[in-house]
Amino acid sequence: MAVQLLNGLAFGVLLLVLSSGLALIFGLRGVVNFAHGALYMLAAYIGFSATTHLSFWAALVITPLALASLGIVLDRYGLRFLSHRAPLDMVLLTFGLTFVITDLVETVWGEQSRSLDPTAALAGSMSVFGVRYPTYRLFLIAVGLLVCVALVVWLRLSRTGLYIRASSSDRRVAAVFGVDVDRASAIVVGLGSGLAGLAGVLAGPYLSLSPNMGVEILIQTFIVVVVGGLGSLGGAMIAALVLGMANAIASVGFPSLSAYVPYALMLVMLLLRPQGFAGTRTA
Amino acid sequence: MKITTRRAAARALAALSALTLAACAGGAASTSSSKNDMIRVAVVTPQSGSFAAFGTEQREGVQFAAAEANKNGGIDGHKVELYLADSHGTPEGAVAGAQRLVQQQNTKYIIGLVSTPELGAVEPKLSAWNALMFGTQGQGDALTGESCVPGFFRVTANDSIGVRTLAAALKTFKDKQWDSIAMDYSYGQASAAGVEAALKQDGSGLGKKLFSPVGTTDFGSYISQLSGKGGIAVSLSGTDGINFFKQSLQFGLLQKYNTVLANTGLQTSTLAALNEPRLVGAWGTNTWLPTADTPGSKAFVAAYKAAKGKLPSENIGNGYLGMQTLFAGIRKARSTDPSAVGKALNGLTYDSIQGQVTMSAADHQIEAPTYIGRVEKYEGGYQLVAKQAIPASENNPQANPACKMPQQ
Repeated sequence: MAVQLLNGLAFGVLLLVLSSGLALIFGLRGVVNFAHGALYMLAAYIGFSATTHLSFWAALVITPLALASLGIVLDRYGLRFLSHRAPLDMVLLTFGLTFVITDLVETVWGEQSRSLDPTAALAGSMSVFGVRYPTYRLFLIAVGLLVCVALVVWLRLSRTGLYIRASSSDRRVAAVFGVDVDRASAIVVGLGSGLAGLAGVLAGPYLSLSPNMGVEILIQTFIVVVVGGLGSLGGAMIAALVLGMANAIASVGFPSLSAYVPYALMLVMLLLRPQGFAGTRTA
Repeated sequence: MKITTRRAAARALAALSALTLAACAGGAASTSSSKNDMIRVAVVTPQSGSFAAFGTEQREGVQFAAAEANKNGGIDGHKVELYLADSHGTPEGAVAGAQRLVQQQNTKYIIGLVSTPELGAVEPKLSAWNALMFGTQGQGDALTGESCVPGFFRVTANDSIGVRTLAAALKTFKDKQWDSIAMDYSYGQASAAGVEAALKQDGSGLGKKLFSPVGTTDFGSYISQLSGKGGIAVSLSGTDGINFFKQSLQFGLLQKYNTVLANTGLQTSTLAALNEPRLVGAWGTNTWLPTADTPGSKAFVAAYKAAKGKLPSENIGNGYLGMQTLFAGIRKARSTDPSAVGKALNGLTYDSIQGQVTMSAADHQIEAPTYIGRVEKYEGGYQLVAKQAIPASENNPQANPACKMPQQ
């Protein structure tokens, strides 16, 4: 049972890091970022190359920074540029970006799947709760949880966090009170993309890399954001862990139904509590 | 205003005339054959989605065969011309891509689709299009069973052949206890059922029998249920296979089994992605292997390596075999007309990378050997090295009785 809980936690934490970025961007910009999965996939490939040519630790720093820079550019020349247009324009932009990024990755790295081994320090397994468990998965759980706790603390206690929460609650009122909402938006999209970058690097030694990996995980990430409450970071965190656990338990208890678990969870939530676990509260 | 209307009418008339002429020309091309006729082939492969890597491999094999044929003066003097389309890995995408090339480019031969649903969607259209299609990867029995049509020819193993090959492999191991993990898809279900039946016949026991949904990324929950005792039969392919092998090695599970046997899962691309020395000694089966010991296979592999600097993967070979089958039909028919080629292929025995093979007239399923191989270090990487060939008489003792081939 301990192994199943750890398995649920490992996948849940990966979803958590990814969905945190998606929830933050939706909370502030009101944009469903369809390119989030593609950014995660791009990050996994950048991380793959950085690990191959430098080291995993370098990849862990470089990739989120590269993706955060890309996010800031996306916000400045994409989302902000289209902010006064119909929501469908935003959807088209982010959806179109998915194809562009996927083609870019296929051109540079090819269509074949790739795999990355954990760095020597994280290879092998450790004893946890009396069972042997892969060290890399424990590392992933620790890093993911640490980053998300730091994110919540930063949003709650820092001045920038206050501005972001204010902008997410009501963009116009926040602007009237002197908050630079464009700057807050750039920070959030940069941060959200950086988190997709972190998730991509962490996924490298955990899963296999393929140009399709973003699409596969994006659906589950959307479910997490909906179940957690649109735009709510705290809600997405709880939902990611619940989904990870539910997946792990279902694949043991009801293997033939395990593929339906995320959708069943979303269905039940939409019927019983449409606002999600935490409504629209940012953090 | 009147002038504009007249001009528009004249343009419409001219366009109609051009269309009529084009239609006549198209009709002529499809019913007669001369040395100047091109062999126009629609290469419809998934270039996006989860099958994209397979699609690229198929395309490479087809392109290599076409280039080789053209370099040698064509097939019976007919040059090969390829037209490419993306099936997007979906049945509707496959139909749209094939239909566009058949109707706009007058292609009469279709090749490259990788999954059973894609092939199954195009198969019923072949008669109306007067086209032939060559299956080079999809394994579903029904394609050459209850859904069989005169225009479809499969050059790779079907599910039943794959299962018989797996059963033959299981007989060679002494383990009395086995686990099975398979993709929850027709290929995996057929494979798992075959493993269970073979073990029962052999007096061995099947412990855990697990199915994972297609596209499973985290296999942790499945891995923790497997015993690690005796042998394990793995029926997972593509990224599912890569994820399973990688994660089960991280958990230390795969190392505990005496025998690891994969049904088509240990392909060149999977082994290249994993680049994993701990997989040395694992066993696998496949329809054709680049290490197959036949003169045709060796010649193809040598030519491909000389041209591309790498070993051809299984799917590259399968795409090449599909084209070899088309060329054999054209040579026998002495025509590029698809009806004539289709008739010529019925029961035709021809040389290929699989040695001398026969296209069954009863169900249009190739009668060719399948292989059991062992993972070994090979030319700087890891490769399933062929150790035993299962002849067609054993892997496919009779045509699929469910196929009631319609009259051509």
